[in-house]
Amino acid sequence: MNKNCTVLIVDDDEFLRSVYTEQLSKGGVDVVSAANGLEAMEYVENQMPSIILLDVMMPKMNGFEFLEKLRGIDGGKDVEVVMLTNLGQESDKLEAGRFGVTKYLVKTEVKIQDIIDIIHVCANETKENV
Amino acid sequence: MQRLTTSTSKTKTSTSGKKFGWWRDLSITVKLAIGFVFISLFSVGATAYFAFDIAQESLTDAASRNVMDINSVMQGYVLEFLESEKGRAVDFASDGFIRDATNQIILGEDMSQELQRHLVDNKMSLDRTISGINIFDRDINIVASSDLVELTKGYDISDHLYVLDTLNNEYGEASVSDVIVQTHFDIGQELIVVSAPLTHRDTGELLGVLALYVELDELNAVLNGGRQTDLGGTWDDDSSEYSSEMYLVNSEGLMISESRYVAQVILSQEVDTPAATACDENYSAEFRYSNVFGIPVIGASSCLPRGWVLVVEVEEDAALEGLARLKRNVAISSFVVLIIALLLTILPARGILVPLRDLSSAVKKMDGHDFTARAHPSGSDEIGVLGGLFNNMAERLNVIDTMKTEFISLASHQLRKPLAVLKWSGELLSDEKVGKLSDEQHKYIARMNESTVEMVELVDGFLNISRIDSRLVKSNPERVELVTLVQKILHKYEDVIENKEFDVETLREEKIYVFADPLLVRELCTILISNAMKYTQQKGSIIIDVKSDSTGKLFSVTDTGVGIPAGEQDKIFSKFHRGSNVDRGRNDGIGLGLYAFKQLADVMDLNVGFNSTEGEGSRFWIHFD
Repeated sequence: MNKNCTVLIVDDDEFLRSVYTEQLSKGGVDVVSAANGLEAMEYVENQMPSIILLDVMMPKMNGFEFLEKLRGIDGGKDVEVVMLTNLGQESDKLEAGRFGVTKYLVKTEVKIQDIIDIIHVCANETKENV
Repeated sequence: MQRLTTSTSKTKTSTSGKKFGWWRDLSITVKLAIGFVFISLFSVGATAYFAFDIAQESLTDAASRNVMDINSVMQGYVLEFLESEKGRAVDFASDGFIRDATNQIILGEDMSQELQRHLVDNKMSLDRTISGINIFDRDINIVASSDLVELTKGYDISDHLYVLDTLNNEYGEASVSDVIVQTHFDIGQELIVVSAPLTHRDTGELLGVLALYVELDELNAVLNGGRQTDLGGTWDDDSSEYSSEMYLVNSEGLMISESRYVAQVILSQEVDTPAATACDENYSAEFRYSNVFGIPVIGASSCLPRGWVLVVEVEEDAALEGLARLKRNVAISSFVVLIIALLLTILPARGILVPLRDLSSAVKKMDGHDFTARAHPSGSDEIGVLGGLFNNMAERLNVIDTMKTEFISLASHQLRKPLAVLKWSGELLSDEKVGKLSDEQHKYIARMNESTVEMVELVDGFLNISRIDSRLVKSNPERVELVTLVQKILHKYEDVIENKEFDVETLREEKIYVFADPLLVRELCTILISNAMKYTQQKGSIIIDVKSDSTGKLFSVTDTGVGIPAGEQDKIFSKFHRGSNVDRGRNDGIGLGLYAFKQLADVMDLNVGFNSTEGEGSRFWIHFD
């Protein structure tokens, strides 16, 4: 079965969500978005995405809270998570590392192209599997 | 010059440049101790001084009075003794038999035997102090004696000059001679001669002189108590207790009594001490001097007939022994007072110093930027109040500091949100992901993107400084590969490099590893690369070199930029410093970059440095062990 690369975008900023969605969709990637941790939780309980782009500062349930919950559910342990944030403290990076996050990116540090490239790796991998 | 280290800055201790700065720098305990010691020593010293003065005076007075009293008494005894002997002489000279017999002998009759027996049996027996009796005629020839041998000795007139004076005496008037050394009566020691004129019983005509010979010992027995004991009295010999001495000195200044210090001084020891010579002027007095044996004494003297002097001396040390004891007691008590004073300083000092040190340590912690430091005031004395006020102040500072940190942090994060949007939107536009752009549009978008990057850097800078100043930066070293890191940083500045047409070279291909905190290393390298880009003009050249040798690894960035003016090179790591040769109109920095650079390097314990020439360029380097 063909399985497309599904990206779950979790960010409370509407504009950014639309930017991600638009740019990422071009590469043949399925994009789903959620406005906060709670909404994201609802999605993953039904379906596990291939990769999650996770913001930290969100209302209702922030990125770390979601992450903790995610790792506790079926199939949640191995999902790749890329954290995107405005915070840059080492303590946050360490915290993220605890939950198996390998990519912790500060928004103002990275280019939008870098994010697209990361997602396309996933997309290429999935294509190979096909 | 501003101190750059992140460790607690050394406060400049008040170098009181004046003369007594050394006093002010002493600890309080030492000051108190010195104060107490001085006060107690001074009090004891002053008291002791007066006590000594009075004690010495009264002891000396007492001793002087003592010797004078003894001297008067002894003078009486001596005079009485001499009077007694003179009385004897007169008494014997008035004896009828002696007078008749003498007269007859002078007229040619040989009465010597009878007279001798009379003298011995009836006269000398009366007084055992008399060792012998001689009877002289007017020509000073011995005509009769208690010892017939005297008559045969063939004396000369010069042997008996001591009786010359007596020839001129009135009837009943006796004279005492000085001490004589000629042997008479086979007495092997010094004698004094007491003589009285002999006169005819009826006519009163002078016949000659009757002389009594008394051993000097008899005279000295008066001084040493022997005579008193012989007469049946008691003699309290306290001389051993009091170290005193009594002796007679004749008119020639020679001792005629024995001394307890030296043997055989009679008629050989000259005495010229003040006491002895005072009698030349015919008064008795008391003195302090060293006697002929070199011992310091208090002496009194009185005059006797024949120019003799009676001297009584008491050793000064013995007399003033009480003073020595006083001195010893004072020394002991001052020592005790000293110890007590020192102990007494410790108690109140502790009461002051312990809370003071507690407060001091809290202040010190706060000096090291620990606003949670608090004092522990006990009691409400001045220091307690100070401690409480300090804690209030500390709390306010803590609140302010926390607020400041939180504010900067919050503000920076809040600023970052829109900046992220700006940045990405700009990138999407310039990457033509939302439509093609004209060249002119590209130009504007490029400029906007540059500004966005500037703003991001500024905000990053603020956040950094806030964290550095709050001592929140910690270094957690790991293995970091430098070449990859450089590539990542350069990737960030791709647009800038392209726009400014820089010629960027990285001089290392293979991997170079260092052991350092990855985020902080990235920070350091970014600052250097960013600065190179900022301060190098269009089409300039930037060389990033990573190399490894025996001393360690070196990361350096060399540019052909504006350089740093020579006079400002010692200030470039200061906060808010910007080179004077940098165009003021530029808005891409507020002078925090190199400040953060140096602070971080210190936290990481790394050696950093630079060379720069104004107008030619700069080279900054970081050395890893």
